[in-house]
Amino acid sequence: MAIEKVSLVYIEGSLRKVNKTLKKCCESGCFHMNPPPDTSGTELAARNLKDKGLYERMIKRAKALADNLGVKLDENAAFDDIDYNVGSDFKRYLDEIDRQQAGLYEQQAQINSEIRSKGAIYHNLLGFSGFDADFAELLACKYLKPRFGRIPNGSIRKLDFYSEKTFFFYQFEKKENYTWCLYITTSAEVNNIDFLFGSLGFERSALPDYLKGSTEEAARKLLSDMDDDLVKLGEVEEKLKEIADREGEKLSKVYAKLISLNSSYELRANVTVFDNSFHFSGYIPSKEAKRFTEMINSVGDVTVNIRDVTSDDKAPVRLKNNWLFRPFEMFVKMYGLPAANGMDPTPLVAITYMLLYGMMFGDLGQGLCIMLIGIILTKVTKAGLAPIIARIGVSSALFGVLYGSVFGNEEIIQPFFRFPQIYELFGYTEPPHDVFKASNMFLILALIVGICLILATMIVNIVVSLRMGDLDAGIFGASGICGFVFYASLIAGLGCSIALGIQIMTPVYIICLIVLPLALIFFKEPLLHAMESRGIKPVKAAKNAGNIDTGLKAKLAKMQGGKGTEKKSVGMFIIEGFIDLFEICLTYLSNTMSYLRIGGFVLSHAGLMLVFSIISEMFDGAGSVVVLIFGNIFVTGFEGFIVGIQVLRLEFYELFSRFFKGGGIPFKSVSINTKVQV
Amino acid sequence: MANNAVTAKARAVSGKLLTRDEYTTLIHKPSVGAVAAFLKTRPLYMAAFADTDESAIHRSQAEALIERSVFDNYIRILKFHTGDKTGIMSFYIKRIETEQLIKAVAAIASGSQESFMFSFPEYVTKYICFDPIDVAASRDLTMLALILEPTPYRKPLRDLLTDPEPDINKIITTINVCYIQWAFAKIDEFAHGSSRDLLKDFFLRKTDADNLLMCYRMKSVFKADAERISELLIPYHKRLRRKEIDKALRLQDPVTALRDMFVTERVATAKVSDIPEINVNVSAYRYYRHRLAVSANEVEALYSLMMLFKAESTNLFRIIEGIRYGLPPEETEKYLIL
Repeated sequence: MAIEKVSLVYIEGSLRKVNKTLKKCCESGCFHMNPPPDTSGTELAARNLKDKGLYERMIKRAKALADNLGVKLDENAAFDDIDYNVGSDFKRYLDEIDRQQAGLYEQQAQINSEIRSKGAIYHNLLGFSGFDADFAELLACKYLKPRFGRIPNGSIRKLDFYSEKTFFFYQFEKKENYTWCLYITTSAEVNNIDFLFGSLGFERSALPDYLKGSTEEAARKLLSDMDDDLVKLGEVEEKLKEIADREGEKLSKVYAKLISLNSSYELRANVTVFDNSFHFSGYIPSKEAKRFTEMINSVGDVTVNIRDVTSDDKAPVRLKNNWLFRPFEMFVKMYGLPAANGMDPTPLVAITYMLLYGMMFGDLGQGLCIMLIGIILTKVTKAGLAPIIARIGVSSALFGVLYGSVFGNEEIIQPFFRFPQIYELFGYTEPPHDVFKASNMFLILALIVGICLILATMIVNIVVSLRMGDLDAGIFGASGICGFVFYASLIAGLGCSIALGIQIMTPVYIICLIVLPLALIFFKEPLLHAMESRGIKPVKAAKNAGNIDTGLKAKLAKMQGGKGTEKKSVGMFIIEGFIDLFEICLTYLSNTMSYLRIGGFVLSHAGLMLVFSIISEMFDGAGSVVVLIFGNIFVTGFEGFIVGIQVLRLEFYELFSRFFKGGGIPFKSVSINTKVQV
Repeated sequence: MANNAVTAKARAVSGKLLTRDEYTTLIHKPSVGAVAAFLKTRPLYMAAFADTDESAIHRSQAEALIERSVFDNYIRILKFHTGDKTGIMSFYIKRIETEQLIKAVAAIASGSQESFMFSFPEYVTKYICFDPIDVAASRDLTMLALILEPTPYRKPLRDLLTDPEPDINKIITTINVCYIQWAFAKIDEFAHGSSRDLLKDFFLRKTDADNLLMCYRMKSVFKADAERISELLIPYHKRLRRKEIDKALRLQDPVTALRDMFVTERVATAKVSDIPEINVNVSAYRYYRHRLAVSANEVEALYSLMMLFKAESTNLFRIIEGIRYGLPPEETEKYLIL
């Protein structure tokens, strides 16, 4: 149960070494950088180092050049052989590339524009199909002004109103809303007629004066011109490709180096400058202290100070677990990182998850299949769930051996509940024939497992809370010492009297071990105040720290106007105390009963497999096998998935809520980043 | 079933009206073309704007297309009505018909028939009772009277149009009265009891607002005298009695008196702006939105929807105007009916 020990690092040095130092920090791969201290309101002449990104501009320029050349840049390219170190070196190189491709790129853009323009003219020409006069001759007329374009269909009828005006109107192709048309007027009337048609919604098509012949001839000529342009475009693109082939690799390396330099530039925001020297701090794993110090010292003219973290430091959290437990960190992070001085619950989660999953979905054959799927997924994908699937598959297989279940068949291996020592212990006189006959045994076992887990998490909570100095949760909480004594005594008392017939619940037992803990929980507030007045400071419980908070207390506090810290009346104290106690007792009961689902799922698994077994018996030969295969696939997928969710629910609601203290900050090593907006 | 179909369709279409966020996007558009490009993507305007060239479209074209969209949507919903399509459900067509006739009268009187022809929405020709080309070709109002002979306007307008000294205001008022009378007659055919009263109130509510806005505009902008304004009043009302308007018009400060009337309960205006017209329109907009949501009457639902459409097209016209004349977006926003 480990949270990796970290140390606080202060680094200071000459300002001219700041870039190299930051780069080394990035390269170390284990440095979590702190934000700069707030020096406002102090007399220190300190400032943050963040300045305008010199490299950002160059990165954008390199990207633009690469786009022009069609070069695909790789920001992770190795750039060891690029010996440019200062801004001017990079600028010279980019200028040179720019010079080589400048004219060509403009040519390419111009040809593209011409092709687009000719394409638009061609598209317009199609509207005038059927025009068999010569465009050039018509457009060259001195006294006649032709206008090609389109007019809204609704306006065509309106032209009857203007029949006395001097224009000739001809319709070409008619579309849904518009009609392609031509009107010709005299040069003397052109302004009036243009205004008239404009008012009627006529849109003139721009036809260049180089068009010759009929529509078809002009269209053919345009297509031929576009072909020529495409050839020219191909030649220009070929030349650009030559430059790309020649310079592409180097440009990509230069780009990668610029990105790398820029990333350390980004980190400069966290650096404080004071008296021509830089200062910044962060955290490193304690075990890396020696290696990190050596790396930074190699820069020269830089001092590294390392010290252990104290409770005042907001140290980041890095979970450290072995290969078996590590995948389960995902579930812990899903819930929230533990506090830096708290406990890493990953091992507990890993063990209980595998245990509960195996118990709820125990089948040797299906378990091995799940394991195989997990292993394959781990190899093929990087999904965080894949290694967990492999592990729970093993657990399922082991419990399958215990339950004597192989792909639902319970005849191959003898299940544990048929051993006389086991079934006699649970009051059976003969071995149960199947799981259903042993259902009571499974439910009792599920309860025992649940009780053990609740007690275990209570112990964890007590240890963690006392270690953190949280007496409220550690002593008086529902999962503190009082809660533990109450719950354990009650379970022991009831267990002995019901299962073993031993009456240990004497009046002394009840008063000391059941009533007294409840009374202490009831009077915890005055007791905590008394402790506080004697100098013992009970730390306020963190979120969900050992108390299962259903929100009732918060609602009561709200009813009082949110004045939770104010002195409350005796009546309110009693009401609140009783509600608290009722809530706690109810929670013990519901939490314990919640584990009955373990037994329930054992029975449901056997039930589902029984259904498919009966269906398979209805078929002969291959049909029977197919049904069995389908049944196993269905049960593995469907039930396996549901059990996974149910176990996670047990983890989060029944276990985590008893001991978990969150609020940890994740440890993030500084590294090369590419947050440049290009 | 028919009843429910039109009501349900009207409600469904109202869900496609522009939202406040979309208006915010529109008022920040840099050009009329950008507005057209945006409207091309909106379901109510998609069809009408489909073929437009955004780089070439100008203000009047965009406005005409918006009006066309509103009309097309109205016709589309009208198809769900299985009863008499020339009955009260055709109120929107009748409204366009009377509006165009008023425009024609004004154009003929001022000799600007061409401008009438330019702006006439050609797509309504087949729905109205006169031919716009014949109307525009009228050299004078007497000729218009001849053209209107075979139409329902013959009787109320003949004497007024053939008068040697025609009173344009009276003709316009008479055309407006024709519309109200037509609506009432159709309502009497269509509905009975409280439903009939409700529908009539619906039309009269708009008359109240139109009368008051007309008076305010004529007095504050054109400084028209009380007599002239009085002639233009539509002689129908719901809450705003004519004698109260006449009384206000004859006060020393009629503009303030009229402005005060906007905020009385009689026209129940919202107080969202310093501009009375906006307040009246916003009130109407909210009222019709509410009616559309709760009404079980198909005429009421369709009428409410058309009023919402009207508000939306007014908003779009203002946005386009604002862009065309370089008004800051926040200034344009003040004129939106929301």
